[in-house]
Amino acid sequence: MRRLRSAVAVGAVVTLGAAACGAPKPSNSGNGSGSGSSISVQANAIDPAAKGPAPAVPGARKGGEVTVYATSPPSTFDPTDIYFTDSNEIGKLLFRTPTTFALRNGKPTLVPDLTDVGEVSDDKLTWTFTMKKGIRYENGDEVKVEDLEYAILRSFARDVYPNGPAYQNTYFKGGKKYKGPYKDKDADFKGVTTSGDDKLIIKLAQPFSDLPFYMSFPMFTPIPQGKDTKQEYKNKPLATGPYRFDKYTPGTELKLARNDKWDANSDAVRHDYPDAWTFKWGQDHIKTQQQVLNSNGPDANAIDYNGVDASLLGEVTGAKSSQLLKGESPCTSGIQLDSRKIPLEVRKAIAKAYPYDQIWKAAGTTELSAEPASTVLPPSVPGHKKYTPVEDLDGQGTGDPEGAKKLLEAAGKLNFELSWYYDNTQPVPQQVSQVRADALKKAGFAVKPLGVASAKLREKKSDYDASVNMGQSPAGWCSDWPTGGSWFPVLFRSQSIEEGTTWGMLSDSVLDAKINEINELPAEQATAKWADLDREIMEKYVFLPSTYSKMADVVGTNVGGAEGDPTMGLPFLPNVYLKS
Amino acid sequence: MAGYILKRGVSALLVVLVTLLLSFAMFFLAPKDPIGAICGPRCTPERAAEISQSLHLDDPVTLQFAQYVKGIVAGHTITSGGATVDCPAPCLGYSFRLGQPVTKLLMQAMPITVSIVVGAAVVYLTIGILSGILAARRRGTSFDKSIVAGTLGLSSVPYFIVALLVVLYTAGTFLPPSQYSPFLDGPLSWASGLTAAWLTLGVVNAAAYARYSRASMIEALGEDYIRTARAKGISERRVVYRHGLRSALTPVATIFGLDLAGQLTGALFTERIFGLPGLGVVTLEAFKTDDLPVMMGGILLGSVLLVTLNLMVDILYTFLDPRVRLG
Repeated sequence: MRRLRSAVAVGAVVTLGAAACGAPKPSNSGNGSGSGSSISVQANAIDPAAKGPAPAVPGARKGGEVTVYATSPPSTFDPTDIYFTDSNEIGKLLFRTPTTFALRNGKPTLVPDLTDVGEVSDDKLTWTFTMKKGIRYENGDEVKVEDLEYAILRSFARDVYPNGPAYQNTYFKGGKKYKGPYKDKDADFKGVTTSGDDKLIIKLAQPFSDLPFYMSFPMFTPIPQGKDTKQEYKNKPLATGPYRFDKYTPGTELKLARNDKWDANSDAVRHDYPDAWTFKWGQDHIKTQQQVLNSNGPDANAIDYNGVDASLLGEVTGAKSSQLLKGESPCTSGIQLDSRKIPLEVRKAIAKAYPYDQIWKAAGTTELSAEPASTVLPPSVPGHKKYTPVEDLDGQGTGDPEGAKKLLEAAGKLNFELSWYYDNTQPVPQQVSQVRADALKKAGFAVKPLGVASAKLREKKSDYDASVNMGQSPAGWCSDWPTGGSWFPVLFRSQSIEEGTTWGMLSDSVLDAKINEINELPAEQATAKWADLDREIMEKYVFLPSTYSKMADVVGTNVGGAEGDPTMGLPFLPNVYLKS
Repeated sequence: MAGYILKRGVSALLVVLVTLLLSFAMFFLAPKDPIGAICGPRCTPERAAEISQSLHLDDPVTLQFAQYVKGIVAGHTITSGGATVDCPAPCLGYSFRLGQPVTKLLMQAMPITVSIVVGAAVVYLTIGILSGILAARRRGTSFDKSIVAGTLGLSSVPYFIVALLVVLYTAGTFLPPSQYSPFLDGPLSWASGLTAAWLTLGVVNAAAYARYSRASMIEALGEDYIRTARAKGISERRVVYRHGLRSALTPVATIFGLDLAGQLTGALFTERIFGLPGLGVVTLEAFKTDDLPVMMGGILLGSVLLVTLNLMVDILYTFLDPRVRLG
């Protein structure tokens, strides 16, 4: 799961206050669609022939300093440990990766970056990526294919970098046993090797057709072994992108300056329009958003990526609508039902009684931040199909307690006990839990919400052996890359229970085989099959979808080129410029 | 005099030690999950064990306390994710979340807070004391009444509202935008970036100081020794500023010492609203993220500042009021 910005992420995505933007235009005028507009459906796209320099953003000019506000600081800038969307998006200014996403008419297209998009062997178990020459780090050293190999090996040191993505452990040959270059110095690890001075060879334990997409993660940015300061690396990572660390005060401020060793001609996606960037964290989001909307002085050059606060809706949908940056976000949220403990007929009754609308209100969700969900895949992921929702799984309505009670009576399960954990130290989770409890009680369930302190919630919700039978984590999911391959294999295979990433605790060998089969197909063939599987899984009533998240952020009046990055649900920073 | 200072110094040291002990004890009672907060949701048992070991969480409480004190006095070496970090004395621990020694984090934030607080103090002491004394000298006049009414009005508006209004509507327009750049990088840009914060914190606090100074001055000017001084034919200017002011400043100095210490440890509203990442912001973020070492370091530094400033005020007393020195 790609985690949302750290502000919303810990303990899985519960409320999904994120938003993405869908401004197809490079300027901010008339960004995206209206406040209640739907998220558009995307097509899967790879452009293996893309070359630098990136197409100029119309009207863009060089110069000035952009300020970016957010409440929560990114958890890390060590590329190996980056998984949250905020550090990932900022990383696009700093780190080049084997592949990356270009935005074309607001939609992500995978393009080559440090390497080509890879070639796979006939048996689908060996991928070869060819490195471009002449790319340099900020210190002037040339980027070598061995550095890329070392960075990948480094990602296996889960004891040091526990938070980064871990698909390599599952898919790479020997990945389950290899412990990284620090502990297994002499290990004969065959998963990643090099050939000549430009070939990176990845050997797989099982086919992984989405590997080129995965190679766009910051984890795959090269790191020279001699420069690896391990846990300290996050304070001064070596840049290959258009900007480098200038001054970093962990937790509060990061200043980026131009990296004069970056060559625009080799980069198909990034620009370096502003002279510098300043990221400021730790301030109240309503205040910073109001500052950005007022755009006094340097705040005209500012962006706030907290997600617009509901109290500012009047302003951002009225006189200052041109400063609202809207778009898409690759996330779906809802609540999962433990299929091991709740029979299908009871799960259907829960869906019938479920108070979607009341929970929407209690959680403070707005049309700017989300829209009702009825599928596993959100619309921003290619393969999403808006089929007629499975009965009572349309993410809307106030619930039908009488109908639910009839279902329970028919199943002989009246007074079936439902229990879940909730944070009893925060007002919103308390309200949501109360609304849910009231509705389910009215429908003939016995309810047992278990309040726990924030500090213990993560542990409780991650415990699949706990006594509760609904609402365990994850409560939401975001694409790691825009295909179903970062959803279904992770959420619905039997092994997902062991990996702590299941929706519904399904343990079905037939379903496992079906998911594996689709996962081995090339992305363009798999897309339609994921959509069919989506409905099949929804019919199992193991997950009640509530919302697809959307992006809605504010930008200063002098900020140009701002559009949403649908892969992150945040403003796409590489295209940003200052108008004057 | 030396005995008095020594006595106050020992007392201050004891306060710091008690604070250190209490802040340490607090974390064993509070429902915190420092390892989870540091290591993240995908923390491996190995990493959790390493952090636990580095924080000495598995050791007996007394040993943990001893290790912490040893770090402050002699420094120590910390292992973090395969890297060895040297933490020289005074080592207040290591923030695994931010990947920095706590002392370094606090020392980065300290100049920001000191700059805000000292600059604001100049503003509120100058405006507050001057207007208070003038009001006292012209007691009952329209000037005095307007000062009293003005200070009451200003004090009745919550500080954070004034600060928010300044940030939202004046910073970047009438006042320079708020930001911090080190004094040595350019005094002008240092002063320019802090002007809004200085004026806001300064003017709001000046209201209180005007009232203190006025009341204290009125009381001093009514004392017998002032009447005696006047009877001796000393000029009114000398009576007021040499005899009256010195006495009137004693209670103001007490309040100033406490205010300054409070602001140094918690100019939180100012720092957060003006976007200046000083000690208050760093400590608050540590509380939000369960960053145990930074929390403890922040509390300890706060207590040291508090007792040091109190000690300085006590010493200042000996110059302002001879009775303290003689007693």
